[in-house]
Amino acid sequence: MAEELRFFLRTAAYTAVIGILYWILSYEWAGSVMLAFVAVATGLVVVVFFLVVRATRGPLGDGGGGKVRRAGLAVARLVGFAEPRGAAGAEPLAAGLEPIPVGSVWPLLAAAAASMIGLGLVYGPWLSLPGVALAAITVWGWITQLDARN
Amino acid sequence: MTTAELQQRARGPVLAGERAGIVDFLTTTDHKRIGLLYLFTGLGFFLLAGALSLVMRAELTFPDLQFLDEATYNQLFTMHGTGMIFFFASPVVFGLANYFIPLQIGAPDVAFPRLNALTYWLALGGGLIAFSGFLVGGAAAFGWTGYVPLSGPIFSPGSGSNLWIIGLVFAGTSGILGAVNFVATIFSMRAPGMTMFRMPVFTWNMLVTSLLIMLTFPVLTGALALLFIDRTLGGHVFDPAAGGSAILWQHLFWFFGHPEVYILILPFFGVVTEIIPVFSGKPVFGYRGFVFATMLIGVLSYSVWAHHMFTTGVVSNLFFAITSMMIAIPTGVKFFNWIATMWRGRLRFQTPMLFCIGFLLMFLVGGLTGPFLASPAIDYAVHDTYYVVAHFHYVLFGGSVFAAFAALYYWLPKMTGRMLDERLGVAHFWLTLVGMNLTFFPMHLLGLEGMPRRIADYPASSGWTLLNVIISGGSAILAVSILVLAWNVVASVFLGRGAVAPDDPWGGYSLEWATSSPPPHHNFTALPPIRSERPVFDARVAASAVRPEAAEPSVPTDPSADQETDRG
Repeated sequence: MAEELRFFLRTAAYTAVIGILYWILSYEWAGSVMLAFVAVATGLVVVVFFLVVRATRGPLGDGGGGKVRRAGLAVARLVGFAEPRGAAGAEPLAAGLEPIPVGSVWPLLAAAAASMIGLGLVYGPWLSLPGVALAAITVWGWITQLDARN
Repeated sequence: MTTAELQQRARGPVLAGERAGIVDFLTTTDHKRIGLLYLFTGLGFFLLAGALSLVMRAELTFPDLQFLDEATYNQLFTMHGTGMIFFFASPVVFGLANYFIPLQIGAPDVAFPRLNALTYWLALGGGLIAFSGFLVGGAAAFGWTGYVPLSGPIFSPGSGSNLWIIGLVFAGTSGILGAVNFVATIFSMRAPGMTMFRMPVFTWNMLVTSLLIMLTFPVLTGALALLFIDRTLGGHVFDPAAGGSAILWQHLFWFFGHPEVYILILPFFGVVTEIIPVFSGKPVFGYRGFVFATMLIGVLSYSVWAHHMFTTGVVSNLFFAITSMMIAIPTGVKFFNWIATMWRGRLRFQTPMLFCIGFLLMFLVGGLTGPFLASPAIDYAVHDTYYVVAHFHYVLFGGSVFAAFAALYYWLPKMTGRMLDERLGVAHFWLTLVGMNLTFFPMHLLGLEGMPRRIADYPASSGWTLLNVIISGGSAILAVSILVLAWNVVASVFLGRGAVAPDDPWGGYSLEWATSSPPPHHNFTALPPIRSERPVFDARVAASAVRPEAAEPSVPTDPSADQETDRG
């Protein structure tokens, strides 16, 4: 098992054990549920990644170029989200051939839209609704920028 | 580097590889520029939140109210804590991580560059929204912990409190997205040869920190959403009168809040672990010990939250006392390793190392008061007194801020291509050390004498005046020390008076020293072979075997190859 998976496994194991202990000692709901949440969340990472890694062929994963990286890429492609320049696959030296990363105005506008929506929750829909419109434009721009670069 | 390039860089500040205008920074997705934005934003909020604390100290110097009323004072300490934790310390952590994780693992950028830019703008927006409460009739005034029912609609009706909630939701969301980005970067973008157990300790610590963020920030963000619903939509989640639970807020808040303390200190443990070996001329003692101690602190932090709630009487004090005391074990391992790294080393007492030694001493004081507070019997006596204020300021100022200054002196030459002035640096160090001890040590005594925290006034008959005068004097010295630092950065970097930084000014070990200062857009033009956790040192030794003069770094003396057998 690659170190990346052991990293999550340790957290899952500890929080599972301490969560059970905590429940027995305190019968307190909030903390028990949160510890269970941490155990399940990190445990799921291990299970899902382990299955994907097993389904991916290649050399062992701890060299920065192995199974874990390819498994991550496989998942990314599966859900349609591989960064345009093949972030995970880019060789550090070959990457210098083109000016990376390309600038983008969309993150700034996305945060501006979020701020308008957030402030609108305090001051009213007259601020939120333009924020939602800006968010829609931003999502469109963000995605089409990705297409243009591909 | 050619003479022409040196001359080019001698003309003025060069940030992140090339001259950049405002528009370049507004639209950047380069991890180095985003790192710089984070760092300078964090320092800006440091000045702002620090100014609030100076106003508080001015008021507290003498008994009676001089120029503040209680309501304003409550806003000041709330926004001081909120600003320092969410909008100074976190952005500085994210700034250093942004800049140096890709460099340390030999990657051209982070995994998701545009997401990275979004996290920065969300963090900045969150900070501005939270602080904008001052402009609309009063900021949040219930302490950075936001306890209900004080933070509920009845006791804190103003819109400043809502802005505080929205601002923190932004900070939380930004943190989660950033942490995902760092984990993806570390897992999938390491250069060939950079195995997990060859990563620099700073990168390792950021990995553990990122996992803490991913698992605890959603709890905070969710709790804030519930509080917002209670405040504005008539919810009763935290309202006992309607079947809700006020204590639930404390559980949710501290399930985030205690790991947050480690989120603010683990990266700085990493910074210190980077700097001490370089300035001791030795490899780090017990590399794997450091990594596993970090992981142990990380997992233990999930099970200690309710030691903030001992005095509520509704938590298992025994359970949380034991788990909290256990944190001292991995922390002790780290201290042992830091001292063993320096032991019989060839120590160089330059500014970064001075701040690291200051960190060790000051964090130790803060750390030692930790087990006292983790003991419920003592905690009942000193809960909500200035003893607690002294404890966490020794941890967060003596720990995180000292290490942040160390990181600034150590890495700013890499980031800007300019060395900071050493004499001003040493002056800054001594002013900070003296000022911080004068400011925070008497708080222990005040706490033991029973002075409560979060009060704007105290009676003259209490006998607390002398200690409060000393504290306010100390905080004035701290303010002067910050001016020294600010002048050093402005003069050395922005006015271009600092010496031009060579690629590797300190004789460093990790990959960021294998590229130019500042690094080019794509970070590396060539990578040395990575066959240990100190690839740059290995390359220097290999070069010295061919050309002896190649072993000498450009500025200071260097650890020599015969130290290799000292590794822990």
